[in-house]
Amino acid sequence: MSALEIANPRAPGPWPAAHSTRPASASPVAAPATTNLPRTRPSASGSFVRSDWVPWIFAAKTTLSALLTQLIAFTFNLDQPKWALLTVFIVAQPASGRVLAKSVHRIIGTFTGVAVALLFVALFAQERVLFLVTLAAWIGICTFASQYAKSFAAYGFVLSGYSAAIVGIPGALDPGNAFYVATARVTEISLGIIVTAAVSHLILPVSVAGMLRQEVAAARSWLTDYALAVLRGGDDQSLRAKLLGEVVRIEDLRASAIFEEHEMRGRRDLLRRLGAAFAEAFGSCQLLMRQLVAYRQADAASVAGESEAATQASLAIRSWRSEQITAAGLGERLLRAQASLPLVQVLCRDASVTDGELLRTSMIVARLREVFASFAAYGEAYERFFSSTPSGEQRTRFAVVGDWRGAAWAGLRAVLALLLVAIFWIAADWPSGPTAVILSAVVTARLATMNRAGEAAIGGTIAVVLGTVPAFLIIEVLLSQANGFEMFALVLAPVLFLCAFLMAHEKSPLAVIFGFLFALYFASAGGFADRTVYDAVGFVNTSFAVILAIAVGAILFAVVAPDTLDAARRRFARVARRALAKATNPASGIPLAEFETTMVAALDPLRSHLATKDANAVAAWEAGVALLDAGRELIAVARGSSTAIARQGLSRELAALLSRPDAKRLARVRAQCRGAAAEAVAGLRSGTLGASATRAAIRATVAFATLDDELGRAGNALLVR
Amino acid sequence: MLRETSVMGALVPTLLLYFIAAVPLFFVLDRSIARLGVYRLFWHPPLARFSLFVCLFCALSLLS
Repeated sequence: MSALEIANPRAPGPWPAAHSTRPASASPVAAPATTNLPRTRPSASGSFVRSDWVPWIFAAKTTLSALLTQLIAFTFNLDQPKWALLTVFIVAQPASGRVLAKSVHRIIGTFTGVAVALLFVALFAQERVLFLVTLAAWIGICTFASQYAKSFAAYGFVLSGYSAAIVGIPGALDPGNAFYVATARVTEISLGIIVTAAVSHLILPVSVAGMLRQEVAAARSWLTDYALAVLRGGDDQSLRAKLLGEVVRIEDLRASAIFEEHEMRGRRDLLRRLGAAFAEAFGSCQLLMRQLVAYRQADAASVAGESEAATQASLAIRSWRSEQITAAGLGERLLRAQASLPLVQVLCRDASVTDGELLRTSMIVARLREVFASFAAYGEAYERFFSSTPSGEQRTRFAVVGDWRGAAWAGLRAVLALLLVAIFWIAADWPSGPTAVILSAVVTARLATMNRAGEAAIGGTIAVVLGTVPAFLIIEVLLSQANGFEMFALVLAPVLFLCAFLMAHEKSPLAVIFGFLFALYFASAGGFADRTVYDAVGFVNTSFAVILAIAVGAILFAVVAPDTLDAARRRFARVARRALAKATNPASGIPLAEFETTMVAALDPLRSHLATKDANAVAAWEAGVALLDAGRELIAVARGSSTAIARQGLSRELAALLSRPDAKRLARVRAQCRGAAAEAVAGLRSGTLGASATRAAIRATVAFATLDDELGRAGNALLVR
Repeated sequence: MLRETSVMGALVPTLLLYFIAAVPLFFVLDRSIARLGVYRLFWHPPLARFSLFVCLFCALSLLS
């Protein structure tokens, strides 16, 4: 039996015949803009926009939008232009596709929130406590839904909650004019949404589809770098962390891009398939890396043919990355590299090879084959995505689910924030109480959508306190001297630009939240109107209201289900147990892609703690990744047929471990895995198995041994409750 | 054109009603045009789409 016949059971079907090679390009990274993907003629669509210009362009456009809304609001003498200004900062996003997508949902959310607010005013305006409790409950429900729904509907829910507060509280204070208040607020909010969407889309739009293509190309570059590092026998932890979030990031961009470009809508299944191939290639590289590390630690001699195969594969991957060969050429060369690897079946017959060495060698060889096969599949998926004529693709189901417990805590925080501030307002009879209550709802609902919100809110509170003096100087001293809209814009523009510039740094949650909170404070305290009344006492009162609202939000984020590493680990353990239970359930048969995206999305909160460089955070992250790999092997085992007996016993033990996790059950599961691997090795040694049974036995050996290893590395993560 | 229209007793700006009516019309037209690949002929497709919407909105307002 030739090496080619002992194919990796997870390999895709026969690869297409090799095509002629393309001439080498100067750039080592494939540039999607030069491939055959049909595009509009470049110029105003922003294709010349570099990624380091994006924060500057976003800041300029947001400033322009903000000033435009104020100009329109002053011209038409709208009631409270500050809500239009605030809405600009809430809606604005660096990429234009997201603005459109969010705007549609926000308008729907605004109308829903306003309708609910008017209903509450009609029912409870005479009884303030009941009104505030029902309003708090509504905001809590909307915040819960915004956290649980992982789609653009989340933005609709956030806006629905706080537009109810924005309309409801002034409406309840003046029920006779509630409808006019509602009309005014809807006008101001809609003005903010429409102007921001128009400016973002018309002036140097930063295409989400373009960002998506760049992200896909960057992911390819990172993946090839990582694969080359692993094939050299090394590792790159920072690259690994980056790669793991790529599938979910690309999926997030895809959801926006389908609003923007028709071609992207047609390619969504190709993109999903690319994402699945990417995750599989990355997972294979990780498993190979761990096996090689274990091999070196065992001080074992290297596997014959391994370095030659790795060298051939590295050259092939480099050539593909520099576009010297196509995906078909890559597949062919990786197939040739596989031929250098030893045959496990031959090793089985060698009595001088111990069971331990046979197991280690089988695992290295199997991992190498998997890396080669999955990389070839990834290359093919990558080129099909960028091809000019997308062919029909099997629909790949992805799952990005929310954690209902986390969402419930977010809802509870929003309820408590509003009630606490409302109690203070009623008890103190504070004139700025309505502002504080509204802003507490706005702040907690908005912060709930961000990572590390608690930490950032505390920083935001301090920053707003420190910013009070400069804001006073700008609003009460400089602006009061301004004559005409031009001078007004001249004074306001630098502040707005700075806030928007900070918000553009999406990779730094602290900067984003600080920029947003300061813009919120500036808009609220400024109280800009066509004929602004400059009232220093009013400014101080409003400042107190804003600071109190943000501080209450910060305290609640720190006290009520704080986003600590332990909370993230518990949340991940819950999701992992659920996903693994589905993987072991023969009836449900969860597809691999769905399992992977569920687990990767669940890993995201753990990844956000890596920035703290805490050793526990790194350990939790590594354990999470190991569980993801264990799940992949479980699904592979579930598909195998010759291990039915082992699977039944293992399935029962795993189900028991996942429903009632404890150390003893974990140890039993690991022992069963080791036993199943030993049984498979014994079967191979007997020499009585046929060709397909041999392949299945090799696969089973590798899978059960990997499961044992990965559960040993990460099993404690499953025990966290 | 009436400045305000009564909708179930509430006076609503007529322009708002035309705006709301223009949105679904725009979506239908926009999808058809995008499917035919017409936007590829424009230098600035987002501006073209925005202009289409403005034309639809103004046409509804002027023709009423």
